[in-house]
Amino acid sequence: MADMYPKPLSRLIAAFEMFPGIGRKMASRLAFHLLTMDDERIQYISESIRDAKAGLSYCSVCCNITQKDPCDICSSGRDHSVICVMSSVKDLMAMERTCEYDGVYHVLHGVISPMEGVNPEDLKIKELLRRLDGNVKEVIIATNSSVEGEATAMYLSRLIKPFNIKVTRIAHGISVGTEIEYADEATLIRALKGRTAI
Amino acid sequence: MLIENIILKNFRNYEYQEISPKKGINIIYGRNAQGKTNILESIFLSSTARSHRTNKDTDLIRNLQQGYFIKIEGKRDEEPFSIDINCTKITSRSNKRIIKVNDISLTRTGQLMGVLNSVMFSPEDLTVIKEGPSERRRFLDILISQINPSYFYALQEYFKIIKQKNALLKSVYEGGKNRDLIEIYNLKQAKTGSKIIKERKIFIEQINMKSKQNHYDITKGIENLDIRYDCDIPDYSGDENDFYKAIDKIKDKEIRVQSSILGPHRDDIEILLDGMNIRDYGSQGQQRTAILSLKFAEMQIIKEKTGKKPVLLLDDALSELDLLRKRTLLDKIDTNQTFITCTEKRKYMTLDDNISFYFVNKGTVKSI
Repeated sequence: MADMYPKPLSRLIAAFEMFPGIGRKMASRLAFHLLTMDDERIQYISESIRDAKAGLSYCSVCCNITQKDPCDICSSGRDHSVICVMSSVKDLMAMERTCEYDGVYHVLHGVISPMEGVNPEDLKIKELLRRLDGNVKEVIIATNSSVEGEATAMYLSRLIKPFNIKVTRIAHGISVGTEIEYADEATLIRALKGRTAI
Repeated sequence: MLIENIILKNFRNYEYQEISPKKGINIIYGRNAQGKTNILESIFLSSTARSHRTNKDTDLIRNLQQGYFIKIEGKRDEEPFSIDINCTKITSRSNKRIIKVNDISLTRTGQLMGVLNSVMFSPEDLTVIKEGPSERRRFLDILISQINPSYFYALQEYFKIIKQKNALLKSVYEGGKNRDLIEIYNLKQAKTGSKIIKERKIFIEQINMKSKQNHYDITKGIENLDIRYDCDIPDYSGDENDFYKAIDKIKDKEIRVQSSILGPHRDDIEILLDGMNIRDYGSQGQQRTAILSLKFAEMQIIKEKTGKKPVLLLDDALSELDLLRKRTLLDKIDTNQTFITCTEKRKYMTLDDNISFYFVNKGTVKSI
């Protein structure tokens, strides 16, 4: 079908198809929309893509995405003795929005999942271990509570234990503002197991 | 439990059908291959989120259609409830299913468990005795899940762990270097797995007690039925550490065969008649009677645990019993609502309960 389009157009469609979650239909919709846009906007889009790719890199300390190295968080006066391990930059941003956490981060860029061929060496684990000098007192593992997230957490905790550093796991359970009545059983069971003394 | 209305859309051979069952006995009759069992299947599906005949949801969609819809409305202790199942085909193999209870979408399938309790007697039940261990595990898993949602979640998690572990074993076998990662998955397998085994053992004990009594009643004390959980894990006391040690020991073998070969996903249930395995030594009639004793035990347990009388679904199940046995069995049944499929109308006329008749012909149902 795409062969009927002029070559540049079918190339553009193929380019959009490279994005996750975008199929042929959506790709051609985006491509045709692009054709209707004025040059200024096109320029803006292509520059944004180029700048993002050229101007951003991984922080050499925490592997967060950053414009300068080390990143803003790593070069700030925050508590460097606590490292919170996240599986993605998106998760890190969510944690940052809390304005509650004053330690630093480490981004793994994924979780261990043999089914999808993601092994420990594909994650930024070496980079994490390199950071564990005498100054680090606690590592908080904040991966999801899925089977993959749990396995990753367990794997990390075993690697870190020999360093004699406290390893903690974030709590999972009922989200704040949710009424217990509406929480599903799996969540409630989790919450019950992770209860704390008051 | 009482079902008052059923709507089927593009489900099996039904294009659109509304049925309003009554309290008491609902007899669904018609010639072969007209869609009698499909009605029972839709009720069972709304009760357990799975079909008693297939594991593929796409099999349930009417030919050439893109999805099916089921709505069941009824009462549970005088409280009205409704269940909607909406399934859409994505590819020929995969589909998306949305289940709603009282018009609220469920976030997890497990939340459906226990909304509508039902027990099905069907010719497929015999597979529990005749086929391999997976059928017996399936029987047990469906029963426990209906009563204990956390079992259902543990089961889901366990299968996910096994899938990941098997993928890992395969990659280690092919020369991947993450052998040490197996330990992590073994720990998780042992933890979730021992939860499953513990629950299964408790249930088997209850099923054994009840089905033993049922079998005694039906056979007038001639035969002795025994049901045991057969766990393959050596030196297993129920402690997850024993489980871990056992799978740790066979690590190399598991890598070689690239599969997890020990655990609740490989366990079996032994059904013994007078001490002999009924699968190998029982006659057709003995097997049939044993499965009835077992299914009755299932119903008694559901009633005991939930305090609700389950809806009874009899798919051609009593057709081979003589009238006397049929009556003893139906007398034993304690339920508000029964659905029976059969080929002729007159067969059950001898029963004195409230009986409603439904005639099924080529995918349409008529109340007679």
